[in-house]
Amino acid sequence: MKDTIHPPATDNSDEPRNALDRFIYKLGNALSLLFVLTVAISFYEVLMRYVLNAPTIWVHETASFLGGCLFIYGGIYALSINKHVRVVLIYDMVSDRTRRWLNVFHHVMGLTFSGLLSWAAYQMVQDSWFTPFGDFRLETSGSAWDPAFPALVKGMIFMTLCIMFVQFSLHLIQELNGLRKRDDV
Amino acid sequence: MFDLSAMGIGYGSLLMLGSMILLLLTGMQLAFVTALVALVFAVGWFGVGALPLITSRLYSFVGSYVFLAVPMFVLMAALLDRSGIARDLFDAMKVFGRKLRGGVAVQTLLVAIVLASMSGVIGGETVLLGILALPQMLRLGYNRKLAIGTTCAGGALGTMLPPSIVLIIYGLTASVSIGDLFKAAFLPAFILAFAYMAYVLILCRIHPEYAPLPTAEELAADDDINYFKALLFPLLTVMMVLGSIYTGVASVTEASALGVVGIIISAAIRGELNFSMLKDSATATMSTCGMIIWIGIGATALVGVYNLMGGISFVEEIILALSGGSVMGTIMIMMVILLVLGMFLDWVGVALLTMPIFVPIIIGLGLDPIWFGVVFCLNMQVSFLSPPFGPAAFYLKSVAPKDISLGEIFSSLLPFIAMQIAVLALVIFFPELALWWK
Repeated sequence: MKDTIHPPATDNSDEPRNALDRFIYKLGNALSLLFVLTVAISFYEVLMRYVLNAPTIWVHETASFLGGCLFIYGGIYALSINKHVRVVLIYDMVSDRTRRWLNVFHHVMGLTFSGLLSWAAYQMVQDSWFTPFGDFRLETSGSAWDPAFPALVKGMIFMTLCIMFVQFSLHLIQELNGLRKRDDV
Repeated sequence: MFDLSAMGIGYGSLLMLGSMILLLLTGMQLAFVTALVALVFAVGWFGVGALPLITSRLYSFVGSYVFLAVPMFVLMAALLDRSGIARDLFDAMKVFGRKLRGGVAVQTLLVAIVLASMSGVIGGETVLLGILALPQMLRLGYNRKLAIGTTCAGGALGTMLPPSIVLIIYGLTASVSIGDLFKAAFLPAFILAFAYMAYVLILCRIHPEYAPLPTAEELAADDDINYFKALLFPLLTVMMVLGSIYTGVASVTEASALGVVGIIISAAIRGELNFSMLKDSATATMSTCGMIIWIGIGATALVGVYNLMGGISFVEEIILALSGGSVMGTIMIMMVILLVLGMFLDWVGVALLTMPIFVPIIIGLGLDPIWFGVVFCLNMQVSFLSPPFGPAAFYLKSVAPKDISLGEIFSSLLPFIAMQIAVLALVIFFPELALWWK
């Protein structure tokens, strides 16, 4: 049933390109089950509220926390299997060699973007993990339950952006190597 | 360092738009283009001190509780695709295909409506109908264009009928109640679906050869359908999701979780549930959401920076000047912008880039943002079907018989696009169609 409905991917470029991508892809497949967990706790909350009349204090925040982390992770996951949407009007028309050069350009732009953003995220993490005097103190949500989720999500954003930077660097190196090999032939 | 703010907001906007178009045309990922342009302008216009603005927008965007409804509806659709629920539903709806000319096309549209009220995403439904309905119609000798158009347009209805992630994202950007949006979208969605059906029936009345009736032996073959089983699960799920939203029992996010639970229970009762099905659906959700949410991250970053530059009030002035302050003129300009952007950009990008600008103007003109949400959703219906990138056409292409080309799909869709624009005009001129319940 599954095979008939979901046609296999036709393009090899959708495969993870290197060890890091493969790792991100595998870890992402495992982490994606957390979406099911999020469903389960949200369902539990509705049950508790209406059936037992005892709403929880932790479901909303935990669900948002899990969702936030997964959303962020989805960025490097989609990058590892080349799933991000492009406008392919010209991209699909040009020769293979030109497309590789376009890819080099995209990787350089990606490095700029993830570099700038990781640096900005570092400042955000610093504010959320340390007091102005430099003591370690995680930012909390300020609710009745008061978990340290804000600090953790911010940390996750920073970490993911750094990984994305490495991802773009590796893609750039691979693309340039590919171009050089072709020139040798 | 260079100081972009010296050029003024007019040239600044042009440079921003120009560099975005240029980068997009090189084939760079939409999510990264918008984020990069946002970062460069933040630094160039305000200096590095403005960068925390972007990260804090990123943080509040991903941490939003309402947004969680998006992955849940995606998960629900992914599970639905992998169960036999849709197939049984299609078989049960054969009742309509028996004696009526064009019946299988009507059957397809009815199944599309039920599926659309269970799921809020676009891909899965088109693919399902492409597998179930299209071969059936082609085998019976239906007119190819009619068969392709019905399947593809029917599949796209998924984002028009509540629950729809297009409406959820609109509700988030416009800060209006998603429950209200769902109520408002109902009637226009049905008008659209019934317009498709009327078109099919009228066309088959004029050209009976477009839709041959099934033969006697084919009719004899479908006697053993368990209607109860086929209809129970879909209707139960629809009631769980929409019922809990409309009655206010659960928030949209919780309702989406209920929907997932509903599908999982249905699949378990049908004996189809297993771990690999759950796992495949979850990974499909991860990749779809990674893509959607990062487009969103890029777009909110860009809009945030542009707003700070004074761009939003600048665009507002231009639109109001162009329309001479007339309400209809303003709406027409917006519709043209949305339709053109919809041809090239993903709908998430269109929503998050334009709505922060359009919605304040709409409210300023004294119009209802809920109504505008429905109008926006209809616009995106057009964008799903229109060349060159109409995603519904690409989804159908991925499962259609080999001899059907993209060109043939797009040309089959033209009458349906015309109907979408007609319904769009109807809702613009008669806002009561969306707001009658208020």
